[in-house]
Parts: sequence; C-alpha cells; structure tokens
Amino acid sequence: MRRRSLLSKTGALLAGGMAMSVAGSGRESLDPSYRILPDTKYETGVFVREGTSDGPTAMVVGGIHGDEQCGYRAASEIAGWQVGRGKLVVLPKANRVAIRRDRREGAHGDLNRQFPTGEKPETRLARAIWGVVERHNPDVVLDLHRSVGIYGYHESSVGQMIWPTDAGNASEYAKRTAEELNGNVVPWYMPFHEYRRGGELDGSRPMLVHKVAGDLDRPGYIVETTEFFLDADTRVQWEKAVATDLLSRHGIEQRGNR
Amino acid sequence: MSGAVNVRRLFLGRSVWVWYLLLVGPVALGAFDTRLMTPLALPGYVALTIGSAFGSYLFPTLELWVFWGPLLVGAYFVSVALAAASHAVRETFVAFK
Ligand SMILES: [Zn+2]
Repeated sequence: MRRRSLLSKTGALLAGGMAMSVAGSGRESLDPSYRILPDTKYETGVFVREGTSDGPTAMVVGGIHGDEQCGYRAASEIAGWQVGRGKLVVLPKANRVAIRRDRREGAHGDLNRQFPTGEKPETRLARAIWGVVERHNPDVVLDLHRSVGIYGYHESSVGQMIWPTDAGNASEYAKRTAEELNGNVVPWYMPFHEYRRGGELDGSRPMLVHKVAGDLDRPGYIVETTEFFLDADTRVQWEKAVATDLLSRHGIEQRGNR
Repeated sequence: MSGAVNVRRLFLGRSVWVWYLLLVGPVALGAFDTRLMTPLALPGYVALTIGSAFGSYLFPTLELWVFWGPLLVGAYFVSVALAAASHAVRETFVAFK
C-alpha cells in the first residue's frame, strides 16, 4: 500500500517534470541501455550504470525464473541506481517469456539449467545472457531468486540462503552479508528467517552462477529469499538489502548512499 | 451449575476464544504483512514453521500454506487447555481469599 502510493507519487512527479518515455507501461519509466534479442519474444533490457570514477564492474540478474517476483522486482529497483564509482550492469528481467507467464520455466524449460561450464550455453536466450556477461566482463555476478520454504526445514527448499562461488572472497562476503542482514533487517523474533551462507558453488552444475565460477573463476552469488511467511513487498526489500550489501562489499554503491 | 454447561464452557467459553485470538491473531497479522509481525506471534510462528517442516517432509507435494490448517485447528486445542489451566489458577486464588 505504502509502496503503491510512493510509486504513483513518483510517477506524477516524472510526468509533471519531464516528458516520460512511453516505451514501457507506467511501471517501466526507465530506458535500458540496450536490449538483448530485440524483436523476439525474449527481448529484454540491460541497464548499464557507470560511475564517475573507475572501479569494479558488477552484474545483477533477476527474473531467470519467471515466477520469482522478488528477484526481478529487486533487480528492477537496482537498475535505477546511479553509482559512485565502477560500473553496474543490471539484467532485471532475464526470462521475459517466463515472467509473462508467471511460471518458473520459459519457452525452453528451466533457464537456469542451460549454462554448462566449458561449453556454449544451450539455448538462444542463455547464449544472449552469457553474451552480456562476456561483453562487460564483470568482477562479480549476483543472481536473484525466490525460494518456497526454509533450507533444512522444508523439503528441497533453499530459502534465506546466499550461495557464493568458490572464488575470491565470495564465501567470506556471503557470510558477512548474512550476518549484516540478520543483525539489521531480519527481526530477532523470526529466527527461522535468518539468512545463511550456502556451500561454495563450482562449475559442476549448469547454472549461471556456477558457470561464473567454472569459466571465469570469479565471485558470484545466488540469493534466495523465501516466500514462506513473508509478504511480497518484504521479500523485495530483503532481497534488495542482500544485493546492496554484497555489491558494497565489492566496491559498488548507490550514489548518495552513506 | 450443570455438567453440560461446564463442558460447554470448557470447549467454547469466552476464555477459550480469548486464548485462541492471542495465539492466532498476531501470527496471522505477521503473515499478512511482515511489518505487523511482533514477538507476540512467536508461538504461532514457531509452531507453523516446525509443523510445516514435518508436513513438507511427510507430504512433499503440498504447498506450504496448506499447513496453516493444522495450525488453526491445533491452536484451538491449545486454547482449550490454556483456558482450563487459567481457570484452575483463578479458582486456586479465589480459594485462598
Ligand atoms: Zn529461482
């Protein structure tokens, strides 16, 4: 409710202050820097935000699974950042087909099983996404997901986890980010919802972040926020808080923050 | 006072529903909007999480919201017990007056 009124206020401001781009549908007032797979049903925007000084490059991906709203909503908010230094590349809605259907899978199955290490990605969409990775050569990659339950409690659930790659400081950073969230964002009286660090990811599975580990040997993270007991807006906020904290550990901060 | 009235009060008396609201109200509010989550919800929150953990192990195909059912039913029986216990405590105090 609060969010909606804030959105409509921002919308009114934009409409009053300047000619708003009418490309998107209201919510999408930002123009991407470029699009991958233009004029196809997969067409989706990439947002490149460059800071005023040199620094690391980070990439944030959301919407690999189309029914995981908090991932692509958090990524969409981050896509609107201005950064102080370095470069931030955001692909908020990786799988447009799946998002449109509000299903995990798009036209060619589970997109996050199409990134084998040491080989070309298996589908056109996966190749285009990996193309973005290769084009910007990021120092760190974040992939934002939503899970169903709580890891270790609910069957085959990976909720409230941050999975680092086995590269650089990723594991240490994941641990510190989890501690930061648990100290400042997750209420003490929701102990099952504390974030935890997952085991280190390597190239052994055909997922995007696993390929970042296997092919590039760089820090990367899969962030999983649960839908169990959390309302939709809170999931977005917590997911964004995890991403913000991880990005700042890698030297990327929203300008004006801190 | 007849036995029938006592039985009705034991299972449907006002204090049963007061306890029920205390147990279920805060956790339902917290699930509806996380900003309304408070420490008062802790008993229901723990019961729901642990209960649904067992539930998802026994019935892995069910969605987790299903386990609100057993929570709502279970909370009723806990409320009956709490109402009876609090009644007994009150009686004890009256006896000492
Ligand atoms: Zn996912």
